[in-house]
Amino acid sequence: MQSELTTVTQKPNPIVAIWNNALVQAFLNDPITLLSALFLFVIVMAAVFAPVVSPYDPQNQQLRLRHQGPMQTGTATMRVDAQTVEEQRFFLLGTDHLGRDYLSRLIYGGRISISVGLLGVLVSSVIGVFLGITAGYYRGILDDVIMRAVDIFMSVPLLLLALMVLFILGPSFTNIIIVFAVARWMLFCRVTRGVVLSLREQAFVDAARAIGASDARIIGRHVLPNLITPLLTLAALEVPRNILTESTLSFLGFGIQPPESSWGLMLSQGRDYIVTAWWVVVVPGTAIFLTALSFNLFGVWMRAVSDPLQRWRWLKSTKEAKEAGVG
Amino acid sequence: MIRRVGHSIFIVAGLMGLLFLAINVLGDPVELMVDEDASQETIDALRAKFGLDRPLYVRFADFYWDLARLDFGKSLRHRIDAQEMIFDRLPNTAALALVAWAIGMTGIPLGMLAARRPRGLIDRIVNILSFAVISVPQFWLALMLILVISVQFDLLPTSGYKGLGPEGWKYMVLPALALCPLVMGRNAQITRSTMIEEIAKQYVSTARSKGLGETAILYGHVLKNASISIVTLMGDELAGFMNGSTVVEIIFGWPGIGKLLIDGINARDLPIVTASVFVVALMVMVINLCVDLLYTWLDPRISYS
Repeated sequence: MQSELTTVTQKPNPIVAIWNNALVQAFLNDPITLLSALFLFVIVMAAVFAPVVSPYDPQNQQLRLRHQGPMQTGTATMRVDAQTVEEQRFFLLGTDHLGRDYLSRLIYGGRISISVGLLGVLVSSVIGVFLGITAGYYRGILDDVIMRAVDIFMSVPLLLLALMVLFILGPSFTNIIIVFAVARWMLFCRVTRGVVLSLREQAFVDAARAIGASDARIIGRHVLPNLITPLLTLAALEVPRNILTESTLSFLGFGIQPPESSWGLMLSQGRDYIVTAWWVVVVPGTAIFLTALSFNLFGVWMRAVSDPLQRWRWLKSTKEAKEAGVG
Repeated sequence: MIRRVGHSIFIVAGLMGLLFLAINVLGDPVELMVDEDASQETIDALRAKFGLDRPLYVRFADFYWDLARLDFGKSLRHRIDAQEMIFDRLPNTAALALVAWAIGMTGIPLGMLAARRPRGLIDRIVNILSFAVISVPQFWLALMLILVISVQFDLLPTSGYKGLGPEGWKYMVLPALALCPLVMGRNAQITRSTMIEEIAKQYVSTARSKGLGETAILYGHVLKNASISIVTLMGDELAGFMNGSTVVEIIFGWPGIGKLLIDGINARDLPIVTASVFVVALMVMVINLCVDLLYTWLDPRISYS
C-alpha cells in the first residue's frame, strides 16, 4: 500500500500483480479447484521424478513377501555381487502377488497412464486443430468433406473403434496413442472450426488481410492465440477420458502389456486376488478415480472462468465470500 | 427422413468397409485367425477354405453381400452360425442396458433440483457427486461392488447368468448398479446446465412478470425447452451402453454382445468379431435415428423432409 503512495513511477512487483489478479484470487479462493490442482501437481511430479520418489524398484520381486498389507514391513533379500543382501522394507501400500512394492508400482504405472492421457490429447488436438483451421478458414469443399468425416467418426462408439484398431495393430503404448488420434480428433476439430468461423469475419482479421498479411501470418498471429483458451479447456476434460479409456483397454488386455505397467493393468492383474488382498484393487482404482476427478473439476473451472457470463458469477462469488470474511 | 436413413446406412457401411480393408489390406485375415506357430499347410488350407485366395474386389463385394443378408459365417471356435450367437446374446445386452438406463434417469430430477438455486448447497453437492461418478472407472466400480456386496456381505452372487426371467434378476443387479452411475451423473449435469441456461432467457422473465409461479415456469416452460438436449443425451447414453457395457459384461460373466466381441477377439474368431461390430454399429445407428425422430416431435421447427 505504502509504495503506491511514495513512488508512483515504480513498476508494480510482478508477483504481487499476479497475486492480485482476479483469476488467481478466484482460483485461490475456490478450495475444490485448488485441491484438485494441487493433487494433479503432486501426481505429475511423482510421475516425472518416478526414479527419485519411488522407494523401491517396481520390478523387484520378493516372492516371500507377496501380498503384504499396507503399512507393513518385511525383509527383502537380494543378490548383489554373488552375495545375499538383506534389506528392511516398509510397504506403505502393501505388495502385489509377486511381492513387488505397490507404491513404487503405482508411481511408475502413473507415468504410463498420465503420459497416455496427455500424449493422446496432444496428438488428437494437433490433428483436430489442423483440420479445424483448414475447414473453418478455407471453407469450400474441404470444409464439407472434413465436417462429414467428423459426423461419421462422432457416431462410432469409442470403445468399438479402439478395439478394432488394437485388434488389427496389436496392443502397445504407441497404438493406444494412435487410437486416441483416430477416435478423438473430431472434438478439437469442431471447436477449432467454430472459433475460426467467427474470427474470420472479425474486423481485425479483415484489417490484417487489407495490409497484406499472408494466410499463415493471420492464422499464426490472430487465429491461434484466440484458440488457446477453448482448446485448453477441452484438453483438460479430454485427459481424464483418455486415462479412463486407457485403463479400460489395459484392463481388457488390449492396452499396455507387461512388464510395463499402468493403473488399468495393475487392476487387471489384481483382479484375481480381490478376495484375499483388497488393496491390489482399491489402490490403483482410487488413483485413477482421483486423477480423473481432479482433471474434470479443474477443466470445469477453466470452462467456467473462460465463459464471460459464468466468469462474472464466479468472480462475484469470491468477492462476496471475501467480504463476508469466509475467504 | 429418407436422407437421414441413407446417411446412417452409409456410416455403418463405411465402418464395415474400413474394418474389412484394415483386416485384409493392412493385415492378413489368416494370420489373425491362427496361432503364431501354425504351419504353412494350415495357413494355405484355411486360405482356400475361406476363399481368401480370390481377388480382393470379389471378396469385398462378397463381404457386403453377406452383411446385407446378415450371414456372417460360422464361428471358428464354436462351429455355430455367428448370426445365431448374436441373436442369442442381443437380448441380454439390451436388457442390461435398459435397466441401467432406467435407473440412470434419476439423474434428471437431481439436475432439476440443483438448477433451482445455482451455487446453492444442493447444487454444489449434486455437482461434485456428478463429477465423482463420471470419474470412476466402471470396471473398478464393478470390482468394488463385488468386493463389498458379494464378498463382504454375501448379498448377491459375484457373477453369472440365469436367464432374464424371475430367477435371473439377482445376477443383473450388480452389473446394472455398476453401469448406472455414469449415466446418472451425466444426466444430472446436462439437465442442470441446460436448465440454468434456459432460466436466464427472456421468456422466463416474461412468464414471471405475468405472475406465473416458479413451479409452473420450471416444469411448464423451462423443462420443455431443455428437453431437447436431455433427449439427445439419453439417446447417446443408450447407444453408449451398446459398447460401454463390454467391461461390465466381462467382469460379471454376463453373456452379452460386448463379451462376445472380446471373447471373439481373444479367440481370433473373425466371423464373430465382424458380426458383433456390425450389430453394435447397427444398434447405435438405429438409436440415433430414433433420437432424431423424437426431435421433430419435441420441436416442430426441426424437420427432416
